[in-house]
Amino acid sequence: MRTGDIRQVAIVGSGFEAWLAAAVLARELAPGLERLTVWPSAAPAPAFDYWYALAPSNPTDCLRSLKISDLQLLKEHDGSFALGARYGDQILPFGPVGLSLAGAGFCHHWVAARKDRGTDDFFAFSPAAGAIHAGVFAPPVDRNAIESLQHEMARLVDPVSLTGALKSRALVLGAAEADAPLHGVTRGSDGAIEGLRDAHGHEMTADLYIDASGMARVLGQDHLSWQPAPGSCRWSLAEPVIEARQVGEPCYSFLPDDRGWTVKYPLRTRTARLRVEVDESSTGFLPGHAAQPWYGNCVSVGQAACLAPPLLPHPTSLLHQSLRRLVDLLPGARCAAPETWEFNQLFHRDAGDCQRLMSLYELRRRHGRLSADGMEDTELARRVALFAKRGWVMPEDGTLVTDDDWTASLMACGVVPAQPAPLAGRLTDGEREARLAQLRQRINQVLAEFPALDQYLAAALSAEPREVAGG
Amino acid sequence: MSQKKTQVVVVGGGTAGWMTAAAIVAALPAERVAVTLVESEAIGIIGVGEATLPHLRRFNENIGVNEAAFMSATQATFKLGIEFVDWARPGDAYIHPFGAYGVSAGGVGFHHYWRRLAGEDEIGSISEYSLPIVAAYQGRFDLPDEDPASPKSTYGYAYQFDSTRYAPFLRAHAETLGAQRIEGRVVNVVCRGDDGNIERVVLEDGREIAGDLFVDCSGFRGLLIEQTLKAGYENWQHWLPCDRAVALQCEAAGPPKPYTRATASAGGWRWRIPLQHRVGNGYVYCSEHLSEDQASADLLESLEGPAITAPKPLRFVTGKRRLMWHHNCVAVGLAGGFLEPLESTSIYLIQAAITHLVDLFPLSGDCALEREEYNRIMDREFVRIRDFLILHYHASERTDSAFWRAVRKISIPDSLAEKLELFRARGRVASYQQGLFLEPSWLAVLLGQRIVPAGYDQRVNDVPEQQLRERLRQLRRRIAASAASMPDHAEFLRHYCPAAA
Repeated sequence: MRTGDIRQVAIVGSGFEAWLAAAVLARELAPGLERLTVWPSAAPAPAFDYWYALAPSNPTDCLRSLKISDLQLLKEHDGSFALGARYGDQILPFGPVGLSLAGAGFCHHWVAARKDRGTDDFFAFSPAAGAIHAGVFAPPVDRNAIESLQHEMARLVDPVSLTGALKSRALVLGAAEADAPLHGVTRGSDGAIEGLRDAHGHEMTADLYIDASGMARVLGQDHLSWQPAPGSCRWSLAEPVIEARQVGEPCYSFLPDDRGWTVKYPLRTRTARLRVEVDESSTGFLPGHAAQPWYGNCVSVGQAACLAPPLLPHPTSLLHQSLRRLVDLLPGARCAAPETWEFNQLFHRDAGDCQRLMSLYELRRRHGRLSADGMEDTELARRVALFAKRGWVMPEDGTLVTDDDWTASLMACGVVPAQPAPLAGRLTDGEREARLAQLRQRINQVLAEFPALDQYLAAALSAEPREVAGG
Repeated sequence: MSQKKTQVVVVGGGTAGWMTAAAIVAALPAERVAVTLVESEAIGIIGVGEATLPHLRRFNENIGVNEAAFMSATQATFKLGIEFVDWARPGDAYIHPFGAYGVSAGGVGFHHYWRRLAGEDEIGSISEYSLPIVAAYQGRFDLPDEDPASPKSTYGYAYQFDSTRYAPFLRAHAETLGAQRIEGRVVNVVCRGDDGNIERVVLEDGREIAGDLFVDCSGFRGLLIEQTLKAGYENWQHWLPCDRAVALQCEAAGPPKPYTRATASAGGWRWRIPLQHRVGNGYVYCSEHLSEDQASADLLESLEGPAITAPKPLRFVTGKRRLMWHHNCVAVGLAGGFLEPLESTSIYLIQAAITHLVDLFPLSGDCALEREEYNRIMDREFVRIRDFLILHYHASERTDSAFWRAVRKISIPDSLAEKLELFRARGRVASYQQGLFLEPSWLAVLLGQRIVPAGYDQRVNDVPEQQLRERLRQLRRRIAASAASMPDHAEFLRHYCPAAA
């Protein structure tokens, strides 16, 4: 048995976030964990289960570690795969576009080629975008085996069904569900939580409390200084509408209109449609993130800590990353200042990047174009201005939003660099043209071998588990 | 589309000047950029940074320099790390290696596993789990292996070289690539009245050199950036109080070791850098606690062989320019700032300044955005190295001289205090992606300076104790075997890059 462990954990919430947290912590804190209890929240504001798109890599690695394979996602949770998203009339692929050439990023060569003689659309140099366009699919190959043309894939799943699986897994790993919803919280004079009460007056104490209650923020609300996303307004999110599935396409879509966004997730057999609308009433939710998601002995995760319209799948990465870091940083029996400080600092950095990335889309939707002029958030304004001028992506410490994410999102939002970096001049126009042509040819060759998505899914469902991507 | 050619004027030769000239002509197309370097043979060069960091390899590769030719020309040796002697306590020694310790498992860093059993005789010091450290102490060296399964893939290497020979070597290379050199002494700098930018520099013989972008490599005085443009200087002596150095060369007493040594001394610390043909030595000290004569005498007494040169004194103010890119002038090298060479960062900072300049090279007249971004990035570079250097002093337990008693009382930046607190609790190293010294470096110095965390990651306990002990034993044996299979460093040098006569 471990010494000095966190032995008793209470998680408040009842959705995907709560049961993912329960499963992860039950697995990671075993065998020293004595009790992990999940308390449904009775608060009026629910956690929206908008987790249809699980971001590439981290969250799916996490599911795998919980023994939930891709095959199970396909079979049991109506899963499908996405290589990117349709944003308006554009395809926004996951993963890098093109290849770095002669020490300069691909974007610079594309800008140079465009200024010179014109070239294809930027995203045409992504195999993922090509696959989406053609309705074909293949999982990414081992990154070490191929130096170029990488693509990434997200999983599209039914979050309600997946939550059930996570709950089962968590229970197997030793978690328990409280008999009655949370009714009250007892706090000490320093704001630390001393216990949770249910409606029958039963009280329970824990070493660590996790707030996974979504927008209700049941445990953390007194201590959270909510930092609104740049240029944000209040939103309402309608319950998802389930529709018949249309043509199989390895992507989801988020489409802007005057009043908000329509997000469609094509699962394997159905399509889920979410509607996000501007709602300036007090019941609307305000995108943003908590300044101190870890406060005392309570850690907020998921929507309780960071809330964004479900446009890109980064919030799922942030949720997973929070749980991962929590496990990394968990101190002894009581939560300590250094770990809390480190967790909050890393969270603030990544959540801030995530919010700024999402803000690009909303600012463009609202104003019809994206420009640094008049932006209230100076960091975002500088980022947009530097990219617009010369394709420069500001190097930062965050790991959640990559340089490729910034490049793709800025380009998709119509911010095209006016000039390439001078380093791109190491290739002559002729050399560049030839390299770009080669690249297109190679993408076409690769895509010619991809089966149609539906064909791939059908084959995967009838194959042995190990033959399925991530199986 | 034709564009106006950007005229870059580099003021000052030396390592910073010629690295800048070579990098710009190598990276940017000749039809877009022309580089003119102005230097005077009458002005000596300080020749900073005989000891380097692994990043220099990439720089040399990018400008098309052949490694063996460069090493021969500069009498270079290989470097696997930096040894710190007498820092935590007199008698202590550890190496900050250019590589990681051990092997991480289950998402948990190796040092947590080591920490769990640390103190047991058979577990040994964490240094025994680092191939570059074991090899360095045995005087062995080999080029790293690209196979990630090989222990020889776990380290990098740098060089120890004669910096007075590096600049001439780079000059020849840069001139071949198209850089133009002008011999002359700058006596006047003319700025434009409208925007305050530098328009031209005037030489002693009356020649004038106009430019679009000026790079100040004039050393500490900052002829353009400070004397002309008044960029301002951020003084960090309250954190790093050493302000003087004496340097001299001596004969080697034995084969060159593949590491640099920094030995803590009564008034500061001494460096020892073994080259193929001699050893570079120096004493960095605080003038408040030690006189120049005493520093020179102490240095002479510590030499391993007869002195070849007389002690050369240097004065410096630790800190950096408030704006390293101001108007149309970028300060590179000592003109941009100075951090004592305890961690061999001088040439790295030159390299970083140049790399970021090339990345953000002005595309048009208005470069306010680029300037702001460049200064942000370079500030971060300096601040993060500064904190790392302060750690060496702050974590010392020495009280045997007025200097050490004084540095122990110095308050440290919050950014460092938070890192220390985090590590002391459970061995967690505060993480960032940008900057020079990442987790393995922090670990090396924190543990080397006897900061042993009170706890460790709890997941380590998932491995049964006996199984962990056996794993560590096997790892140590594997590293020892790999080190033993490496060639002798001096022998390797003789075959790979014999020094030019």
